[in-house]
Amino acid sequence: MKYELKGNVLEISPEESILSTIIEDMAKLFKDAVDTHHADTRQIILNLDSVETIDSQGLNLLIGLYQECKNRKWGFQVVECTDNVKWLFSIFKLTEVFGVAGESTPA
Amino acid sequence: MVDDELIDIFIQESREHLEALEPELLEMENASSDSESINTIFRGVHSIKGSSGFFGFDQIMKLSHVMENVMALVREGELTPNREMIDIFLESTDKLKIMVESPQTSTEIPIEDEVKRLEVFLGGTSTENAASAPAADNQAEVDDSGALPEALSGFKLDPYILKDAIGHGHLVFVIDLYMIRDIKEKNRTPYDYFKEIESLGEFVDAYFDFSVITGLEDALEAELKCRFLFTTVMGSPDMITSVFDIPEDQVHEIDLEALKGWIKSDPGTHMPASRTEEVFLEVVDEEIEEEPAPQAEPEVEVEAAAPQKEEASAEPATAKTSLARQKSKKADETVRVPVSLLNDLMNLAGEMVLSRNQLVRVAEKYGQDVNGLEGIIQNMNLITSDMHERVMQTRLQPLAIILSKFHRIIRDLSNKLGKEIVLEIEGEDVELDKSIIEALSDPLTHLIRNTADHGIETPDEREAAGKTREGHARLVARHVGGQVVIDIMDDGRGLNTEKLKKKAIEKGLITPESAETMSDKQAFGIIFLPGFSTAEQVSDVSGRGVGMDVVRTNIEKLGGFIDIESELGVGTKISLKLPLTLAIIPAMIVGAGERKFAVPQVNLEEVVRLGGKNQSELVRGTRVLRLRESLLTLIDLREVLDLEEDAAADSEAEDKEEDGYVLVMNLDNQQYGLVVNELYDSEEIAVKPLSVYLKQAVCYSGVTIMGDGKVAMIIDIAGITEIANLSFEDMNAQSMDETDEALSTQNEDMESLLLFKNEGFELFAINLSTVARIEKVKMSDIELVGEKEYLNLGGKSIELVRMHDHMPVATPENSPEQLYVLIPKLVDRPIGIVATQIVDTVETVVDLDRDTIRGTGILGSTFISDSLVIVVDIYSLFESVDPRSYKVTETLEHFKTLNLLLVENNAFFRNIQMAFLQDIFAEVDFARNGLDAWEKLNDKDYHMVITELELPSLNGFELLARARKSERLSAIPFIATAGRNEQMNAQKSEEAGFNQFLMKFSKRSTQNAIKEVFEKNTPLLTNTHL
Repeated sequence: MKYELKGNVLEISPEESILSTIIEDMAKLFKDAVDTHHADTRQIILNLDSVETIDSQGLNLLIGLYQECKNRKWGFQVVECTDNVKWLFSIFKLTEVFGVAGESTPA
Repeated sequence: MVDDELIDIFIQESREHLEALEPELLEMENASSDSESINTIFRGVHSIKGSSGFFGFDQIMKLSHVMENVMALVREGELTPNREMIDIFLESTDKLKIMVESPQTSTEIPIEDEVKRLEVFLGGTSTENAASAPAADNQAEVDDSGALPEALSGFKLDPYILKDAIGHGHLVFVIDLYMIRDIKEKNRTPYDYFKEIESLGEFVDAYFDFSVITGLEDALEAELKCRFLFTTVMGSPDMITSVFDIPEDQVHEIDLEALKGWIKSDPGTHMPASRTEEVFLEVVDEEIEEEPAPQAEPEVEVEAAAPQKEEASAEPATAKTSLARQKSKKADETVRVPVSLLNDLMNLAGEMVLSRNQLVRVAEKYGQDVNGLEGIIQNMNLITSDMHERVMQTRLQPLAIILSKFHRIIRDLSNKLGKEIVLEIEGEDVELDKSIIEALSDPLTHLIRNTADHGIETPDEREAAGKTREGHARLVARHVGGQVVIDIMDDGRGLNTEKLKKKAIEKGLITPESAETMSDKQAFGIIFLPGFSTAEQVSDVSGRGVGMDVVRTNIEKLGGFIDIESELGVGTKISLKLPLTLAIIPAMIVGAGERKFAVPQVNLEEVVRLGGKNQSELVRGTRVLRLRESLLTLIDLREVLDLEEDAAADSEAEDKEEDGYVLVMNLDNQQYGLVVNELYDSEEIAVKPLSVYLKQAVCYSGVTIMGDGKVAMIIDIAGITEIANLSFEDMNAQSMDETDEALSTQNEDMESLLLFKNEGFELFAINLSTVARIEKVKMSDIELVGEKEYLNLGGKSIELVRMHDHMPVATPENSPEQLYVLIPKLVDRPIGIVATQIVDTVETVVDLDRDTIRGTGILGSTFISDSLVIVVDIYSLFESVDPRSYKVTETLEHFKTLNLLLVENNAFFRNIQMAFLQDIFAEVDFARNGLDAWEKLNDKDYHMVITELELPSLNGFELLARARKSERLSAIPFIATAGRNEQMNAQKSEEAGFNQFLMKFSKRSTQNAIKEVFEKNTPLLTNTHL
């Protein structure tokens, strides 16, 4: 997983499926990213280009990140979803909530 | 780049909207207050506007938008629809139809005129800014969603999607799903879980209860719940709990009635307040703008611009979603299949039927020794029939596809011709094979246009004729015994036979001599002659003289049949009789010489066995058969097909008694008899086209393969008459000359009887003239309501009667699976009589024994071919089944001293009526024909005459005319009776001076008529006898 602040947009890329087997580590890294750049961040872009699967706890984590942004009054957007993930988001109607876009927005 | 498939869906959707628009506009013209019509029109143009805007089809959007604006004012009651508005809406709809067929080139279609004329209704309102209009609409509609079922309040709801789901019979559920408990703890991922379920319904909307997670700190431990709105074909909550593998309390079924109520209130899209928070970026962006942020970079503004752009195009996005949903829905419920594949399936089903027939034949011959084969064959028989039926159904389409346009055609023609015409259409849901529907469109359109142009008079003409100014046309489609009958009726001027003949002679289409001998029916047929037109002026409406000829040819090509009935000054009725499908038809398999042929049953009226009393004879060199009251010209299939060797083989039998069968064929209301020497079976045959080498053979219409594997040609019954050089005009001239003579020698008491059994040894007979038709049914087709049995016949239920329940006859031990139902005619309320076996039809003189076997429903007994036969009295039987409809409650005592003469040539009806009338009058005498009646009238005093109109020697009209001229007989009341052509005979008998007219036969009507006639005409006579 990696994250990078571009301007005031914090881009987080998990780079692997978001599954309960690695969920705690990933949650920790999410927290690190948010804490590290909290002063300069106005929006988080979550790049899911390498995420093939998201399990139940993975969904919890994404919603946790979304709620975190909401609390901090930051923007939140998901980009570069794989087909499976996009399909899953469409079932849960999360596409409307997350503002899922086809590709990451250049900073 | 826009997906081509989405554009296809747009075209399809728009077509459907536009198809729905036209009838609603016409409806609105008739009843401007009908809000349902207005809403449908509004929704239609609104939807087209939204979708076209999404795809960037500006021209379509512009026109539909201004239409929507006008309709919005109508909906709000600010505008009242008038004829001018409907005109422009119809014209605009036509333009939209053209544009949506090729939306990419729609800019080439000029719409300025329509837009300008529509804008007049808006009082100058601009059509610019089309995209902003729907937002206001939606806002207004959202406020109107009060009666929403509570469980749905959190969902974003599109009423059209829900209406569509309900319309497809889906149930609606709200389902709570816990991500950890219901999915993770069952070792599944959400993706796998939903993939398994998605084919069972549609996830219309969903939302999470985000409140259980406040941020990253507590995200992993929280039990996240998602609430789904799910529409599905699954029929119960139990199935949902089972499929979703969740407890019952997480499944909530939505009351469809409440939901329908909400949809009906025309609420627009429902958007719950909580959802606005979820579109988080927008909230954030507003706050960014509100709080000046010194570090805000230009890039952020670019970011913020994106969602704003999306917002601006909110409606198109909705349109896209709707289209996409539609797409996925269609994929769930229906599969698009190329017509060519259906054609292949139909052909294969035909082959299957043929193979089945062959197998059944082989099994009959050799299968006796194989254990269990009979059961297998029976099963396969049923499956094949079912499969054929189902495949046939895939090609069936409702007539509404072509009928719906006729309202518009009549409306436009009424305007153009200055006539006032009201068109009624019944039976739009009647279904026919796709190929027939397609081929039927032009002939039907021509007939409808003809009705408006030639049939119905101008308002002034109608008024002068004592009619309403408004002319009426009716188009009625219905199923009749495995076929579809379409009647086109009008109350116009009717066909003038003299004018038709004159015109046809002028055009050299017929000779004056043939015109002389033509019956009315034949004269009506003139309109089908190529090059004939009665229009004084050739117009662009009709009257080019090619139409009706083409109409008949096309209907006959479809294996159909066209018939005309008309009454001068009263109206015309054109009936089309069509098969449901062309690929498999019922046919009679016959033998001529050593070969087998298939004769389409659509033209087959009856079969007469040659021999005994049915001997053919030569009249002026033509072989004919005396059939009841007419001579039937015969065509021997062997001779006409030149089967010389076969004929030679039979030549030795020439001098012997005649043998074989006569198939009585009906061709354009003309009958002829096709002589064959063998009659095998009635079969469903698969029609194969003729090879190119045989295309010129006019005597064949196709070919089929028989159950025994042999090829059989399908006889073209019109082509046969061509080869035989049979001219119906000649034939009729001959027949007319000979008929009187022939009939005078014919035994007048000859009766046609249908012999049948009721699963026992008893043989029953019923007079064929009282049978409308015979239906072959399965036991499973019969529905039980209480203790009564009913059969569904073309959408109407008919009560059934088992004879043993009412008559003193044997009760069968078992009821077989295959039954026959005799549908009677000439009764007040038909009740189907159940039979288990149809034995034969015979024509015989019945020597009725009324004493030996007596009881309810029994007229008497007789011997036919040495077998005892019970003759059924359907009137007495029906009195027992349904006394309320049939039983006469009043007894007439007034006439006990009066004498009546009954003139009836049909022995069955004579027996029935005599028995009834003898209870009313002092004396009842009968006469078999008009001359006999005339002699009796001159010999004895009668107080009343009841006479059949169609009588040999002297018909009912002529008898009355003679009586009215006689001083002694002129005051006697005459009641006319007939078994057919009710409307025509009623009118003719009134004009002729009959005191009453009755259709045969109802005791109640007869009794009422007698009473009424005496009270009206000779009150003193009856009073003196009181």
